Amino acid sequence: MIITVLFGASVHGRVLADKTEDPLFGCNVYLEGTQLGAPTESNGYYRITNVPRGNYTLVFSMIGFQTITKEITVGEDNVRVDASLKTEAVDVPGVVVNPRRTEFTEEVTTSAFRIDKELMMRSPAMLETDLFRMLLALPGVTFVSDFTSALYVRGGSPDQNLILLDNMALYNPFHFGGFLSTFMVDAVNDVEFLTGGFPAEYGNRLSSVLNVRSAAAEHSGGYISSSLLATEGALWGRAGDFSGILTARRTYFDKIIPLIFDFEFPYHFYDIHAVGTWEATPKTRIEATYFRTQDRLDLGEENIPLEFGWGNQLASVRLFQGMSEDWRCATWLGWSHYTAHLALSDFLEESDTIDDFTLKAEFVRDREASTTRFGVEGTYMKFIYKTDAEPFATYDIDGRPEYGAAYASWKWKPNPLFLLQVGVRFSLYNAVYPDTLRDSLTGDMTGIDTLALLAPEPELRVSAKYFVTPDDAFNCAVGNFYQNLAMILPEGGRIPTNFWIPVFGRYDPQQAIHFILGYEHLFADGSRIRVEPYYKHYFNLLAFNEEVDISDVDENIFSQGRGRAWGVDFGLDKLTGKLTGWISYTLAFSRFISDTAEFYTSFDRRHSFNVVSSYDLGKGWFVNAKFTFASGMPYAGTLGRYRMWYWDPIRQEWRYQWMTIEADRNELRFPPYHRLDIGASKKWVFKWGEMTVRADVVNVYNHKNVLLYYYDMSNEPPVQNKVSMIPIFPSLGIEVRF
Amino acid sequence: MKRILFSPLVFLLTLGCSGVQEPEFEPETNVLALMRIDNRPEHIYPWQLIYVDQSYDIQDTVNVLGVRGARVEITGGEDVYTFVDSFYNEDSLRWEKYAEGHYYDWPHPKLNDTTLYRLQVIYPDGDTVTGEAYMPSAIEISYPEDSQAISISQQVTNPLTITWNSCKNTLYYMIICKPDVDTSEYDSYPPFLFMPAIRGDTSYAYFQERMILPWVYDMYYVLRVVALSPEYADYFGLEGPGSDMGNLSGGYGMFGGISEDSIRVYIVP
Repeated sequence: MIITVLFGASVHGRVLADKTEDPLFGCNVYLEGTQLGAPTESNGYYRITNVPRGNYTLVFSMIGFQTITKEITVGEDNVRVDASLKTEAVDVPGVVVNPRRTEFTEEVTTSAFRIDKELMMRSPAMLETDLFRMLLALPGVTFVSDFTSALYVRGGSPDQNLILLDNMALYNPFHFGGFLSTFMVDAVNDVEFLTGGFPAEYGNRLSSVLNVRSAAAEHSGGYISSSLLATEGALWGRAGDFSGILTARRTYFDKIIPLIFDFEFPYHFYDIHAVGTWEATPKTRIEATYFRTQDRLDLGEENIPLEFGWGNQLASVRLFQGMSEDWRCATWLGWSHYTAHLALSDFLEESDTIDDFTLKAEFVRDREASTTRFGVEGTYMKFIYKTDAEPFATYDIDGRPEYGAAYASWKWKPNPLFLLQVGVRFSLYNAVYPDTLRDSLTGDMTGIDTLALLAPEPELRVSAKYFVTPDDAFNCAVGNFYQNLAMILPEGGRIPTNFWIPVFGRYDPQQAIHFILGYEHLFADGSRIRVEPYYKHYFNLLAFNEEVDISDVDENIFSQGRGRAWGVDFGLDKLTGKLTGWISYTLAFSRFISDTAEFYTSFDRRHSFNVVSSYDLGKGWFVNAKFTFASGMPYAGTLGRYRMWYWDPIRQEWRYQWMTIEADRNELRFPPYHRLDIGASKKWVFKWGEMTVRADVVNVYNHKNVLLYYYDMSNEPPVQNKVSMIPIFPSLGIEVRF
Repeated sequence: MKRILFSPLVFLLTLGCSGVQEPEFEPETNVLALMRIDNRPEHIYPWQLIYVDQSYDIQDTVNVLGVRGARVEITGGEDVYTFVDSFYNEDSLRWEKYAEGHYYDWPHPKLNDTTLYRLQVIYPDGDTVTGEAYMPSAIEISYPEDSQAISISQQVTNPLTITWNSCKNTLYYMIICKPDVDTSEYDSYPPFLFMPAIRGDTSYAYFQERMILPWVYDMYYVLRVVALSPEYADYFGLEGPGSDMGNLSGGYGMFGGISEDSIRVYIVP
């Protein structure tokens, strides 16, 4: 009663699809003629709080469904109103209403970003609209160079991010050079990005979760587009209970340039993303996804004999079932394949192949004040990592790890003031390595002890949210996380490497504990300001050992130690109206600590500041801009030099050579990074469809951001040379939709 | 309320702005004291040379290399040998300086393979560098004999063997065979036979093993065998990377020894 007096009564209920009785996510429910309303959350429930007494017209509105209204009277008590919406054909496929109010009032997960397709389409592009380039500008995320889209989240390395496509893991889903990720925006429905404190249904990673959900077709159509980089096309359609989307993209320089010049362009990539949906019964839906990407760089025998490529393949089937009014379940079965290969003539060959076979099942019970979730998952993995760089390093690591986990979580909202989510996850990691490690010196095959690693303690995940006012909330999260694989990531490597290996031999699973505090304010128009200090403590953290002893690679390919990452994320966003965009600021510290050394990681970027904006000028014109300022990254550089004298026994004379003195690991810093990108687009609408022309300029003022330094020791004094990142780069693109 | 909310943020921002202090370069001492031991009984002129130097900032132009005015001593048992950077020129009747950073023996040390020698270098500013090492034994080639004519075939199954006495305090041996020509003519006769690193306690090597000479000239060659002390072999990089700072306390550099012997051989093609 006290709560009702303080905040007014609430209007709440659940919204289902009329035909399937599926909960509707993101349906706008509001009181006509007022500023009061809320979208539904993923289980279909909504709650409009602080409603004064009176008579109202309650409106249920969602794109793709018929809008309905209901007359209600609100008194001292809370009012429950449920609704079922009938489907309605619309012209905009796959657009999701931004459920910002629901996210604020009903979601307790901290550090969460939900990005829909519309927001992605309006963000500034560099050659093409890209999801990862957008993520790099969010609070808590930083980058190491223009040449990789790898995400460094809150002091964590890129291999600590769990990247999922329709709940199946992907490895390195971005292209060479870092211009693009492998996700085509039109095949994506929405993205959930959790930068810390993620719930119990996610595991085997330490830092973040990026869950990309494929789009579903609502009607028939398609498009074709072309930029300076690639050509992309898509078709989608619906027939009865079946629907599907097929999207493909490929670079074209390797095909066109040889027709014009006597030159073989050495690089290409392609992406394929196909999704099918079958609504088998009103309560049963089956979805299938096929995803394939491939990068290939082949400089041929005449130039530098370098061959480099990597690719992902993923095939999955998903079954969603409504078991009763409250219970629903989902089952995922999938195969994820990743391969990377590097060859430099006969000197070096390195390859990595990963196959994941995964089965997951999850049961969810939705109640008005609580959601209970429990599930199991099992993954059988094949890891084959080979390096052949004779006579320096030659080894094979061929493992068959098995990963299993069970989890349960419970979300509870006892009153409008408080939200609590408690989860626990138990995982099992069994690493089997039959005689497959080849000794680099002797060539003998040896085995590694079979390990059965039960996570020594359960992974607890707790998060809570407390509403100070209807628009202000404090939240917090604590959780511990385990990870059983790592990427070979050379320190200071500004160019992406793509080789993963599972935890094996003497190494223990990596572990992290997150502590997050946050404050959030939601404005009336859905804009949000958020401040989140965080602290992460790592145990058994793996850092690639660049001075690996090749005679004992299984024992020292990694250094294992502790780590600390802490900082503050600040974000202000505005996602509605003519002017949209966000401002983000990240203060971050990241340290690695072992028995022999303590140093800042190579991605310890102290300050990252981004302004991303888009403005609707009307009549189909849009302009956008993105500005990034980031303080310098650490690197292991050269401080001094000294003469190393020696006696030349051939010439019988003293000689010397200059030796360099290196700074302590990551002790030096590059200059700050800053860059401005701008773009403009014009859309024409015709009877048969629409056409959009887009122009972008990357690095407008041509700032030479430093990628790396090297010294020319033949000069006196030695000359410091630098390699810069992307210079000013204009691009054009055209898209036709029908 | 807002002040309470934002005061921790301001504190953290201040902390972040303090940033990371870039390290400033500070010169370190750098000494190379490689004693050369040969089978010649006595040297008239200063023979041993110690380099006293320092490290330099990578971006600085270095006009003067080396350090003058240091006190350099090697102690072996009760013997103390001083190394000096100037000498009295009896022709000009005045003191003259050696090249910057060059310190020559005065008097000439008589080194043996049983004494532990200690090096001490005191820089003008007071920095002190110390090190200690045993010296290799004097080496002597026992076969072939001096001025012997030998015939080499690339296909021989029973190759010529070079032998010498096994040396104490030695980790590597190097065998070099070069045409006996003036230094200025070296480049006209590449490459040399060069066996750079035979590790361990050994006293022989096969002549054409590791031979890189594709042909031989009908002429005299100098065949040289060099024994390297463990300290020098490590400093020279023969034991792998990561140890090039040397074995001295207080700075970069090395204190160790090499032992050399050479003969002339006439190689018949």
